[in-house]
Amino acid sequence: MRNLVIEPTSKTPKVILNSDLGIFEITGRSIPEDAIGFYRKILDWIEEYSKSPLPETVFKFQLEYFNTSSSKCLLDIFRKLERMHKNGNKVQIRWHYDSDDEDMAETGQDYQALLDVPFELVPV
Amino acid sequence: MKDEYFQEEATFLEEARARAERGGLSAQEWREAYATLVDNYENLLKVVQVLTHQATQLESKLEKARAQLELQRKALSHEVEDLEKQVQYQQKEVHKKAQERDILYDRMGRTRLMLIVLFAVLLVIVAFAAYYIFIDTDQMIDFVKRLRGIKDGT
Repeated sequence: MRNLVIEPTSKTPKVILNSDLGIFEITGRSIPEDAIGFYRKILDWIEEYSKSPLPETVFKFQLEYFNTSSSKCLLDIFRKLERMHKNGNKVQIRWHYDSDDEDMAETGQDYQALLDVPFELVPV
Repeated sequence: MKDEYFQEEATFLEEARARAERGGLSAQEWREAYATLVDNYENLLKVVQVLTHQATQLESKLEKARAQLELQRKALSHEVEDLEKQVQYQQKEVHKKAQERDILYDRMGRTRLMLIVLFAVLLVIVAFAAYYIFIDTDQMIDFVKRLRGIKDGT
């Protein structure tokens, strides 16, 4: 399947979804006005990928800041990964955050509590 | 699919409503549908709680940032005032120095003129002396003799 790479801007994160190399990353800041428009292609890509995923999928998130609508879109991504996990695939979410950023750690904990999928908090 | 937030939840709600309106469900089906509705509602509630918490965190962050910016604005405003005072002081100093320089130039001009006049007078004297010593020697000798005569009293 076609890989998805989106270069970062001042309002959107860098996205690398490469099933050939097994790299799944969203990094940077996410404050787009039209979050759903931005995340739609990511959600579609994951939906397509979930039909024949790799034996193991480790999805890395390293966001420094994001708005509420991005938060909802992230939840939608997590839900898709959760579904993959429930379907018997090995899926892990790694939530990287700045060790000084308590809010981002707390946000990770919120997601962790909400989801039924391996969710690791990684301070950096 | 329309690009809207909570699209899945909205779709589920529409389907549930349509199913309820259609009717004809057995008690067991009602129970199952109701259980699904409760599960989804619970899930939605959790999501709303998480999003509300995050939105509050963001507001708090923004408020902190705004307060910090306000402090920086005030600090910058003080610095600008200080700089303006310094600029005014420097301008006064420059003006003062310029006046002093003008006075000094005046003095130098006068001194230069005096030196030129003195040099010109000296040049005239030397020219006269040279004329009589080297060119009109006889008149010089006469002049010296006359001087001696006056001195001797003859």
